Amino acid sequence: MIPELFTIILYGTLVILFVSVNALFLVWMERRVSARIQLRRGPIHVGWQGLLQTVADAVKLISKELVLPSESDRFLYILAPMLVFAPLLAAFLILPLGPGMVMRDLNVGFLFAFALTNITFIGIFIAGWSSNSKYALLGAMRAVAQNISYEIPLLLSTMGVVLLAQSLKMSELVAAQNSVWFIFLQPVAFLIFLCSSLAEANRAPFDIPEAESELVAGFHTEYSGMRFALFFLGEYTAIFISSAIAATLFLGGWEGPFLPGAVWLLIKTYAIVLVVMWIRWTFPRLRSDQLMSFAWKVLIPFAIVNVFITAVVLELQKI
Amino acid sequence: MTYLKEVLRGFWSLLVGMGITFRYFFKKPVTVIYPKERIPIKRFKGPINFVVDEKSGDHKCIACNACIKVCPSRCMSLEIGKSAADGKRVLTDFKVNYMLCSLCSLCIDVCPTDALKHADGDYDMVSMTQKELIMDLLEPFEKRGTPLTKIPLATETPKPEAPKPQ
Repeated sequence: MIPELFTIILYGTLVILFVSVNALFLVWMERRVSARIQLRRGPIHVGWQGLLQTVADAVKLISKELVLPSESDRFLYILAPMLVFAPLLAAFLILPLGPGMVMRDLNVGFLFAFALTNITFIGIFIAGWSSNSKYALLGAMRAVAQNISYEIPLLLSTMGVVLLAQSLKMSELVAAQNSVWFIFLQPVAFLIFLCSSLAEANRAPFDIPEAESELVAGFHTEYSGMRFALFFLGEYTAIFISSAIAATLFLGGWEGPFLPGAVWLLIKTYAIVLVVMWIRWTFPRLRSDQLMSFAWKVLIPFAIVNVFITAVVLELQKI
Repeated sequence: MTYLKEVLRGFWSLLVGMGITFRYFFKKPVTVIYPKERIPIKRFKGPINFVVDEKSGDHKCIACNACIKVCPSRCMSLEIGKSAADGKRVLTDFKVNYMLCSLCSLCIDVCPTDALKHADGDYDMVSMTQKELIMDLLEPFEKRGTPLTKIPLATETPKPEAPKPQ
């Protein structure tokens, strides 16, 4: 009992530590990548190559005053950032770092992660509702509408992979990619997954929930200081998790020569994160109706056809 | 069929866009990290300065006062001494008050010997005190020491600037 509790606390601390460092690194990476694409240099002065810039920003955020908007729903307002951030931590439970190196190898596997990350949208909606601001409410409504529609292609695209691996377990999914990565067998599924996970993480070009030019900052307009930092942390953690799951499902997870599994997983994950940032700084923001029609008219039909074709081919191979 | 075409064309256009940003990613940034790096600027109107004569290494000023007369903001002042050697008018002091100067270039245009110019590239002129902005144009020549102005040091002794009333 006691050692069990001890390991839970230890893992929890490690995960939170990793999440914070990872978010700091990703913010730095985002700024550098965007700078290079726009022929700028980005942060280079604080620390080696500007790596400590985000640490300085974080210190600034911690020292900021926590503003409570007037006539806001106080309890929900304070609850929302936690509700956005906490479920994302749970998704680390199923990330396999190597053979046997997974906290809980659940039977439902990545479905568990998706189910939990969806709680964040309740948090986002609560944030928009409770802060008593039209921008926040509009942003939150957009976020929920967007996430409900993009959840469908996201899960449908993973079905092709699941059909190939005959399992939802993360470890078995990795094992099934021993010979060939699923990205080569399921390229369409990978693209759909990438698009949907972009929309799930509220990233450009699907970032209408926090469209700066129209909604100030969307659902977290009224938040300041560490509460805002939690939303920010949550956003980058969500990107990391969806990229890590994509790396596990399509790029063979921890498998790779020479280096240990965790390193390979991180390399693949950050490669996908780099693509995500590259996409963000390339494309303009979609309009709300374009976003919906893209999900319902393009992604979902293609995902269904992909699942159908995969199933038919698998059945034909048996004969 | 048109639907599939649309989707494929859209996908292709996305790839083209990503290709463009990919190329930009590897281009050299245009940012100049200013205090560390400086770009030499041509034809920049810096503070008024003396032209250094290539032959003698001296300035070309004949102390004719034309620039003082033409200056709309009256930011210049010069003093004239008499050379002990040959009795010619020589410049003993030339000061520009950069705080007043409007960089109109009139003094440069009017100078009969083309002795004045705008200093090139000196675009980060700031100072903590007003004193630093009153520039002594002869100072660099004195510092360099070498050919110096034609003033023989003797000027100091036969100080009598009597020639004026003549």
